[in-house]
Amino acid sequence: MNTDITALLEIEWSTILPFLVPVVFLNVLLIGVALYDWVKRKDLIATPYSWLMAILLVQSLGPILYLVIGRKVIRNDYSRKS
Amino acid sequence: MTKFYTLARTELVEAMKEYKFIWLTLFFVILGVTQPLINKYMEVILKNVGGTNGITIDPNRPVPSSAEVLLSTISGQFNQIGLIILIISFMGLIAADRNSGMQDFILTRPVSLQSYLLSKLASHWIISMFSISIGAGVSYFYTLLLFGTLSFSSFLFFLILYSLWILYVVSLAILISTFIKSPILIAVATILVSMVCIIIKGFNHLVFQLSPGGILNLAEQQLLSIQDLNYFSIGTCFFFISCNISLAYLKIKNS
Repeated sequence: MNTDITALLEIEWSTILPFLVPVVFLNVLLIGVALYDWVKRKDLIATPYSWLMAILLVQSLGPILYLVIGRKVIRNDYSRKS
Repeated sequence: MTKFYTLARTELVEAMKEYKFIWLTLFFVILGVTQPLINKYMEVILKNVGGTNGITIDPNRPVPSSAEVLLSTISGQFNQIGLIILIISFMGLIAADRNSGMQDFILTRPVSLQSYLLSKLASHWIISMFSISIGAGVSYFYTLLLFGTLSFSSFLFFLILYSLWILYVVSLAILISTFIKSPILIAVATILVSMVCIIIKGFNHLVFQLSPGGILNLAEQQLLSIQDLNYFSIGTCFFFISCNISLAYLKIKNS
């Protein structure tokens, strides 16, 4: 992973903007759908906060894996705090 | 026929409730947009993101034609990561029913096994093709915008032939899920078999023509506008689909 922030300052934003905008916009939409579902099912699913990390941090695959697998893995009765 | 319609409609409603239409479409649109943009702006990206020490791009390289870019989108993105996500999205199509006891519930009603299997096939094919069509359409539009013209009729014909390949993949998933119980293993097995169908192209041309992957070759040739095509692959593809469905039918009936 590249952690050098100074490279970000040297980018000519005007040239790279047409490439960036649609991809970023669609990814944000996908994350939005997954987050909406996550907020609705937060009390039902197992390990909700690790799924939240996956949705927010894993590029485009995280939300999809949550929507396929994560929302179906329901917390069982024993782990629920009364 | 009404039973088939009802069963297929419940599948589609379930997909609506799981937002499957939305996220699968978004995923394929992301894939379809990324590839043409990367092809177009490769120089700008390399120059700006850095790490280009020693990498030079030939300034005299030929600009790829729009058909080639669309082909690279399909074979490089849709047929690899796209296919994997697609199969993961319908890996539970029969296993989930069987594990929840819903399959026994349906089949003890006066519903024939054929209509049950065919409704599964049709509904999941509709869901997949809805997403893939929108994704490929956006990709086609971007390719027109960045690389110049490409005839719409050949693109449409390509999409119709590609949908047969997707139909084959869905029928393969149905067949494999009659043998294996766990959804994850079904996904892995289906991905492996379909990848073999794609990879076999490089080994033996005759075997490839007779394998289900031949339909992909035919679809790609539509875009490249090659004359005197061999439409034999359509027949073999339909033959393999009906083979898969009838094998699954026999397997469930005898169990």
